[in-house]
Amino acid sequence: MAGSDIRIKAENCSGCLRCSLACSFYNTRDRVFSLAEAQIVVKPDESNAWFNVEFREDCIVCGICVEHCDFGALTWA
Amino acid sequence: MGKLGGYAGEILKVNLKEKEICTEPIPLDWISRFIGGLGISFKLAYDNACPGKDALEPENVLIFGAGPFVGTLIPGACKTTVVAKTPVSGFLGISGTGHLGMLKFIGYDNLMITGKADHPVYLKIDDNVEICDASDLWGKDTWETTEALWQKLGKQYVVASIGPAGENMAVQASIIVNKYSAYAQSGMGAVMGSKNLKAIAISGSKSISVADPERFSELMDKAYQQSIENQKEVINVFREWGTLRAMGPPISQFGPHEYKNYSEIVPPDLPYKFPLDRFMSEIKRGDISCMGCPIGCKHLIRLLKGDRVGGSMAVSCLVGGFHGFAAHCAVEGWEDAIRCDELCNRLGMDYLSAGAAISFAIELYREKIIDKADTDGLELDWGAAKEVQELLRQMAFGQGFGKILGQGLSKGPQLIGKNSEKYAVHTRGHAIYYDPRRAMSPDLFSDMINASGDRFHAPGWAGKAMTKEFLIKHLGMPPDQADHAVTDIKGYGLARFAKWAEDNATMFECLGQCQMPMHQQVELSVWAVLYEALTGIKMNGEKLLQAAGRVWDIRRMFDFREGRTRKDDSFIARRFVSERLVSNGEDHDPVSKESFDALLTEYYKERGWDLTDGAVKQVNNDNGFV
Ligand code: SF4
Ligand code: SF4
Ligand code: SF4
Repeated sequence: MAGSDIRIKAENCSGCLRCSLACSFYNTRDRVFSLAEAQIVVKPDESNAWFNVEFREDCIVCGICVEHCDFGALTWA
Repeated sequence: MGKLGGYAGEILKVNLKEKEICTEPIPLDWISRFIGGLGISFKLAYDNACPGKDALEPENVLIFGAGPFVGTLIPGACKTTVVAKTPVSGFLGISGTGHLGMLKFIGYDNLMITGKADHPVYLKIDDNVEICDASDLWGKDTWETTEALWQKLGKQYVVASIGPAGENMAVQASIIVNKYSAYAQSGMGAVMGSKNLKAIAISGSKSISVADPERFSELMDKAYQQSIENQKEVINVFREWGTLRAMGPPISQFGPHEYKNYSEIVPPDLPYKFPLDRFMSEIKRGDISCMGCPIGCKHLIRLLKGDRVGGSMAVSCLVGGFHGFAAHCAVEGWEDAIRCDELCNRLGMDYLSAGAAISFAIELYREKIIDKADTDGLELDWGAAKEVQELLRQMAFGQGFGKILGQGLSKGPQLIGKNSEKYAVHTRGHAIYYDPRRAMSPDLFSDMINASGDRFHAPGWAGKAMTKEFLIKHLGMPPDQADHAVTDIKGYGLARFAKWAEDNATMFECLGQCQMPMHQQVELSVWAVLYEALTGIKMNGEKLLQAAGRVWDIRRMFDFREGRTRKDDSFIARRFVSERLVSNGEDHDPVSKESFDALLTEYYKERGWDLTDGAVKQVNNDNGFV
């Protein structure tokens, strides 16, 4: 399942979007920055700390987002 | 144009009166002259604003801008700005935030709004641009507005909205992004309100291309190394405390200087009224970051009071709230200080400007220049938190004495009369952070003459002493000048130095880069090659700084056209030139007008501006921006 080996701790998420920006830049063929093409989506969600973090269907579990998360919101399971 | 990396390449223009929406490519020569973001916004302001019109008339133009770096992974590449003629001074006003980078993903570098809608509207921008009815949102605070738009459109939309303060055109009105991040100073929320524009909701599916991805990737790592890896300790402190770091020793020595409307110096025990251990254990819930920044110097905090007690609030600049309420108004304790911040966020008002206006009112009341009859029964005093909070509401809703305070520190005293101007401490209407009687510094000098809502952060205070090497490699100073500046800043000239630091900060704002001290640790040459790898345009540090200087010129030309002269720049609040600062065992002379004037001459010389009226000289005009 998409991103199933990656553990999300949304309460640590700062909303920096570095995961999404890195996912799109390192995984797209044209090497672009794009929130639409990123396989990880971060949105405001006050019921859950301040942000909600979710993987999209086509996540290939490459771990680039984990490498770019400086807040401990993404770790390997 | 579309082939350039970094830039979206387009300007979106919306005329609210005519309901016209159009896009235009950014001319290439604008990019080479003004870089992007803030620089392009100034050019648009210069070309499109109607000279001589009031800031709150429909002719004013409101321009958002995001530089070429915004939306990339360069650490701290998040800074967006909004500019317009400000109702605070009638000259150009600027404000910035790190949370509207979505602008780039809807495919625009700049968004220019003109005219006034005939009823309240909001702008919805995704793959389409729509002017939508906002009658049901008018009157709501920024939290309610954002929540309503999220419910209607989805949370993928970034929402920049105004609260009642913007609707009622208080000059302290801010624009609040996603419920917390503020375009705080210079009354941009009032300009938005004057256009009947309640909110802008954006969600983008576009992408930002990179000219040379391999090289760009390596250089991003280098920037990460210099700004983050090389100073982990500083970063950790910054993430923990954010701008509150300015409260604790030794920073508090140049932390909140103003106290009780600049009548005193902050007492050394002020920080103890706000125990930092309690902040950590009971108040702070998490870190909040701007787009693309691994530092996260903003906070998620717990509300301790009010109708949403126990709930959370994200805050951008907590120390701004301290300046505004704990220092200016002497409000004590976390509960009330945070409640003031919360009200400001919801009403859409800037902490510092609102606090400064209220501290002015408190002093007038204590000096018996105004009384209960003026304040509708409110008994104002230092630390009277309930009254401070009530005045915040009144300012936002244009009621009671708050209606006068909402006119700001320049117009307000004229309405009050009775020599109240004596107590109005500001620079051309803008509140300032520090007291020049205590110490003049390049950043304070810059703040006093160029007050416009933005300011530069003194370079080098990220725990490192300012060295000659830093000035050469980071500010781009020629070695002989850097030598002089570092051994003898007074002899070199702090006003001369201010010019270099201002250009550096402006370069950051044009690129779209946060200028917090950690990010200043990246070398100028690295910024230049990053730009080159991203955009495909040849660049070096010298050219970046030249462009920043040009951006200062066009900003000056805008103001000059509005009548700004050397006299405006020489303005110093009466208190600073006529009263000694005697407090906490310190005794400081008033500011000498003569020595301030000498600094001004030095500054104009360094900028190449006319010494008599501060006009941009013809020789600077070979940039062809007129
Ligand atoms: S694991 Fe890889 S593909 Fe999946 S979201 Fe993270 S970066 Fe993208
Ligand atoms: S998951 Fe990590 S990288 Fe992604 S937004 Fe949250 S803090 Fe930033
Ligand atoms: S350092 Fe702070 S203000 Fe600057 S980009 Fe990072 S989180 Fe934002």
